[in-house]
Amino acid sequence: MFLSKYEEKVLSGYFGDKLAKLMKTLVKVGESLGARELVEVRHVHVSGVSIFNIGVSGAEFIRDLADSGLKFSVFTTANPYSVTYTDYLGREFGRELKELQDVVVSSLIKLGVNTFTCAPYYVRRPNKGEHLAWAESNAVLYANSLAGARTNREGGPLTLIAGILGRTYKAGVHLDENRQASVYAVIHRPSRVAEAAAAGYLLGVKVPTQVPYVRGLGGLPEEYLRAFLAAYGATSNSPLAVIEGITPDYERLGRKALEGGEKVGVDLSEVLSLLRKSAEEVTGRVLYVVGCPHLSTRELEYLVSRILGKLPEGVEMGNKELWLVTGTYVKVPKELEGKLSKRGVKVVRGACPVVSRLSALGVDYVITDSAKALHYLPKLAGVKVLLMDRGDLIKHFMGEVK
Amino acid sequence: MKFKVRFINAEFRYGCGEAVVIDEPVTYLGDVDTERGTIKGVYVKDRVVLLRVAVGSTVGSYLIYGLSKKGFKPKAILISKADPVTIIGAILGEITLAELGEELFSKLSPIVQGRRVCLDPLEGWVVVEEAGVPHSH
Repeated sequence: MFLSKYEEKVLSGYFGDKLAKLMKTLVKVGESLGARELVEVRHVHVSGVSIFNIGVSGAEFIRDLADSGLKFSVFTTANPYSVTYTDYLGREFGRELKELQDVVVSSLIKLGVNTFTCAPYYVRRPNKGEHLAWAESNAVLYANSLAGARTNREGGPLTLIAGILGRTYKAGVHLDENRQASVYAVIHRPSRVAEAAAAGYLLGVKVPTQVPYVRGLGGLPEEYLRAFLAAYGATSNSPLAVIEGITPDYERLGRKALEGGEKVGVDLSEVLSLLRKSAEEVTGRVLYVVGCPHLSTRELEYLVSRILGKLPEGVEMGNKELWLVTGTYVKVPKELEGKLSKRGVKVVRGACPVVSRLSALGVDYVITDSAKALHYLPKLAGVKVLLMDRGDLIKHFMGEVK
Repeated sequence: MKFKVRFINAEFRYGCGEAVVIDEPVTYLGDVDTERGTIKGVYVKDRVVLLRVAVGSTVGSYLIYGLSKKGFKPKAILISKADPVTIIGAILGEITLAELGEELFSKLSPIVQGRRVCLDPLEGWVVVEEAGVPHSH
């Protein structure tokens, strides 16, 4: 691999053994992926924050890095932590878990993270052509497919290294030739956000590793595209989906797929069968989750005003809560928080219920509008899940008010 | 049977283990159990794990690393197509990793389950021993 003079110096230990070791690891990853050089990145986004995901060994890894005295040298955001700071119907996680989660969060803050969210594009929207080192699949797909920036789907620990060194390896979709779509995917045009999410989920199952050229989503609002990409990211490992009419340079990037790529389709019947499950089977303590990926400020404001406009204060909500999940970039006045909590609604900031063992909080069933959550919740949270369009979900939550 | 492969990470000069095949795409987050030492329910300690493809969460690297930290380090992972999440997990977890390519993976996956596989990272060889041959150490 060709390294700059500065990179050579880092590798040789001129700036200390710790940096040299990180550079050695980065170079090794890069070489194994065919990179010929490193590339400076403008923004790093770290994944691997929830204690339920990374476990004690992951927490120790991050703590050791923070304790070594190294700091991030570029703008760095991180994924949400688990919901150890939130209660569900008065139930909370135990002290030991909270302390472990605290270790991860405080270590990341020490390294230089100031925002926790899975939607880093709402903190700093990437520019076209800009190089990034992002983990978190929904964010990677957003950056590449909607903003035209360049990032591979980095592994969690690699982003820590990239944040410190301010660089990543130049391979994968940092290079033009790997941004070409090779599969031509025709999606039945979704008429609701949940249909877009379901279509993304199904496309990932059908095209798990290649870059698809997607027809059927042109002109749709961002919430459709975000839901589609987040779900696609859960069932595939592609960092990019070239969306006709949306992705910058889509004509050029899609040429090969259109001319001779394998063709796949996602039709309406498949989408509807994923959404078909009826709400009648929902029993026990229910948690409604909206905000996977995290809500934008605008989405949150809309939902809050809708709920406050419909639900009277102090209404008896029974065995259910609604969590509106968003990043730490949103500020919620105490007074508003109080108003919402009297209606069984919480704004969860900087955290993520999908990466938390909700069963331990006594949750039996989650109703969500996210197909990404549908994919992960049964495995990670140990609960049953129902996928529902956002509008229906809010109605369902409010409609059963006695 | 002897095959030339590309080693991405090597942690020994020569080593062998029983092969296990995981043909379905793996989402490490959810499919790896670091308490039991399994991937998709398959026990991996000291085994040569043939893994078709890893998809989903980028947190996966920590889970591969975690397998190692918890004492369930596989002898090696042989993957059809290496991805950044698997690579960084293997490097930090000090697990030998090789990329087989789609063709070789498809050729080996139906026949190697339970057989002894030996690896020579220095020379870039994978050797699948004949079925029924007693193990020699």
